[in-house]
Amino acid sequence: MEYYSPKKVNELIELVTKHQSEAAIIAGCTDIIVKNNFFENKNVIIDITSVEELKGIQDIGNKTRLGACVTFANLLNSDLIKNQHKALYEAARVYGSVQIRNRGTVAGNIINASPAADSIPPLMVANAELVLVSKSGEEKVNIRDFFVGPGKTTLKPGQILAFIDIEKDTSDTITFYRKIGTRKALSIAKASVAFKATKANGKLSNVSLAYGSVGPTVIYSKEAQKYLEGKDLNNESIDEASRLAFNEVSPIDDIRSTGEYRRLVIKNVVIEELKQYV
Amino acid sequence: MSKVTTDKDTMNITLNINNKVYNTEVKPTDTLLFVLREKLHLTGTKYGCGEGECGACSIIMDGLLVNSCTILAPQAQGKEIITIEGHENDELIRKLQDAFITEGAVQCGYCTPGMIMAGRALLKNNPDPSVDEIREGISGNLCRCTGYVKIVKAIESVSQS
Repeated sequence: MEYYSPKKVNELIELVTKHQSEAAIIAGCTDIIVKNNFFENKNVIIDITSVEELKGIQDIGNKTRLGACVTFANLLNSDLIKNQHKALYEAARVYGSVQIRNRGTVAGNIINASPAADSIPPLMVANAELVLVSKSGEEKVNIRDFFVGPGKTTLKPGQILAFIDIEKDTSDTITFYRKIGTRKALSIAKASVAFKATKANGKLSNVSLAYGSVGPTVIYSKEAQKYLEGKDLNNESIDEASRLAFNEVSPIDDIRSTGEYRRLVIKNVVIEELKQYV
Repeated sequence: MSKVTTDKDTMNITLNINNKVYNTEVKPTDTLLFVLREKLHLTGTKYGCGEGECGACSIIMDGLLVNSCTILAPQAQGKEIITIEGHENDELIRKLQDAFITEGAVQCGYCTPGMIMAGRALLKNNPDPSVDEIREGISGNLCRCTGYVKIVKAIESVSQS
């Protein structure tokens, strides 16, 4: 088993191109090490945490760019995230624990592609663009198109997730991330909801809604958000939106919860959170 | 290119722990926790779950509280590592140890090294935390015995001294 710790992106791409699926590409390892067999069919470990170009949270105008090495602790220490990416900030606050936030990366959370991932719903409602880099160049994929099943993404061998570009909140944005878990820390979401919309003169526009832990992948809303687009935010529209949310998720029974509970909790979260903005 | 490998499937690494330099031979997939306990015989850091869920293996790396069970040993190179054994040269760790005893915050003792590391990491960055901030600071460390009340009190007493 070989271990590499490249310092530059072009070195990283060389290694990834050369070793393809034989390589374990690692950063914080908080999900990886827990999977007992992760290194079994791998000959090479490629550690990205020393690649300078992949560190840092950059303000790139009307978007923010997260490097692949950005940890959840980095998010919590960033005024830019706290003030202009409120749903993602809240996700970082409830993610894992102090120890896990100091190591776990947003990129790793995305590539691990759990339907319960805390960063994915807020990134979906912020229209995140994933910048995938390989020897043949850059490919940009919207996060909503990236997941094909639990733990499965469209990332190809030879590609790495280098950057995540996300739209900022504006002064008219109402947004939240709400996670329902057994404890306040170290719990995997039983159900979660992320929401982002512009509210002007009482009316909603640019409505975006995503649900976690209630389907094989994080679910991007169709009906509930279409319904809310252009509507006044009031008790009636919230109740109808929550009913549509109830119907458009597909949760299962598992060790953490029943499908029935999850469906009801999604509905109640939508009501409880949106009522604060009426 | 920064590659480290040997023919034997192991590699030599250098670690800076409690201001001492250690050299040891490891597999690239060995966790830092395994190397601390089994190779370097620094057994103060405990194995609780091996999954990053309990915090018993918590250490401080470059000023950050982390679970050593989810770090690969080669990743710890070039970093400043503090473990519970660092009490010899670290007054804050010693104060926390004394406070845990005074307040009765130790029962079986298994979570204690990790809790003290959590307290040390918290107080270094935030010397005067609120009770909520202390609870947040130890939220990644499980204790089955004490109910946490005396642990919080012990950390609070150090912050006020």
